[in-house]
Amino acid sequence: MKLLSVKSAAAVAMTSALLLSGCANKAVVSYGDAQAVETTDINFGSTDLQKVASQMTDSLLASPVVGTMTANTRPIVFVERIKNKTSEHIDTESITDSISTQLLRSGKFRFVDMTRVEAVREQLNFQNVDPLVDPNTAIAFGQQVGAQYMLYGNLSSIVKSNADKADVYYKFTMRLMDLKSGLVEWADETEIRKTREKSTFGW
Amino acid sequence: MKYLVPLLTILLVAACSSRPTTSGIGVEQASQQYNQQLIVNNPELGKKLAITDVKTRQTNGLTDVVVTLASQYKKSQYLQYQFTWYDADGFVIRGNHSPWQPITLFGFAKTQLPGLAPTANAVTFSLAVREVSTEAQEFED
Repeated sequence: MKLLSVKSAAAVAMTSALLLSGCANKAVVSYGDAQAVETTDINFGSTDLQKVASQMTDSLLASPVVGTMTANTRPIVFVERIKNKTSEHIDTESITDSISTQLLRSGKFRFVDMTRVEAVREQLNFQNVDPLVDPNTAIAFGQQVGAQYMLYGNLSSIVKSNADKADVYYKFTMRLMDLKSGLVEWADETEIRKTREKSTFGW
Repeated sequence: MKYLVPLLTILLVAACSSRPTTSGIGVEQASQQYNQQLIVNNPELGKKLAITDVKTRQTNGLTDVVVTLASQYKKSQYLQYQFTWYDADGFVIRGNHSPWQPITLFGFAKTQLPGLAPTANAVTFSLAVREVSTEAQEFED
């Protein structure tokens, strides 16, 4: 091979230097948008959580039955739980937290929190039994209101894959039950499909 | 040999462009009047995509919106959209209630993007549509 001219050798050296410095394996920390769509892998991710929560809230708030129900009053709801029937570990409480927060913010519903009942009982016990507390300021037992509706649901998935492709399908179902009559007043489901294919031009 | 430098430069640019395109197209509603303003910040995407209709109504006391998005491109497009809501004074409604939502728009297809105001005092909105970064991800398996 003929020797490179000095000029082109210098150019190559410079470009290589640029290439190396530009793509050096340095750790860079930056803040991302917590609400942007993320496509890191096909497992249940933040986008799925946000999509499910936002669609369920919108569907519930826009449903005609709920319109009648919330016309003159703010119904009291308790969130039972979302059963995770998928093969993944998913924090379903996080989904119900998002949904109940958005419903509360809409100003149409009120919630009782069953996950904090023990803490409330402990506090009321302290107020009523402990001589440290002025009895006139202690909150008496038996004044909390009962929930009228129960919100619950299921999350299930179907996963399929072969050598080149992986496909996951999530189905999220939610229901609102009238606790007095046992009637399911509202139900909706949302679906998510995610596919991963090997890129043709990967390197 | 004379092509080496440009080639390396292209490689350099291509290999290191890890910042996704985040501009897109959108629609903004002027306060109280329903004269929508279309915004195209990304002309390349603006050619492939059009907002053809905006409808609003009241549902259970909340502002309900559908924006019709039409593809003008033969291939599927992987997009995300986000509604931002404002009250009557033009203040943004605080909270994490309207995240970017992923949507796949097939070639020359039309779809409606639904948006429901998170609270009763949210009266106007803006919508942004942009592409989902589809850079190939590397996987172990």
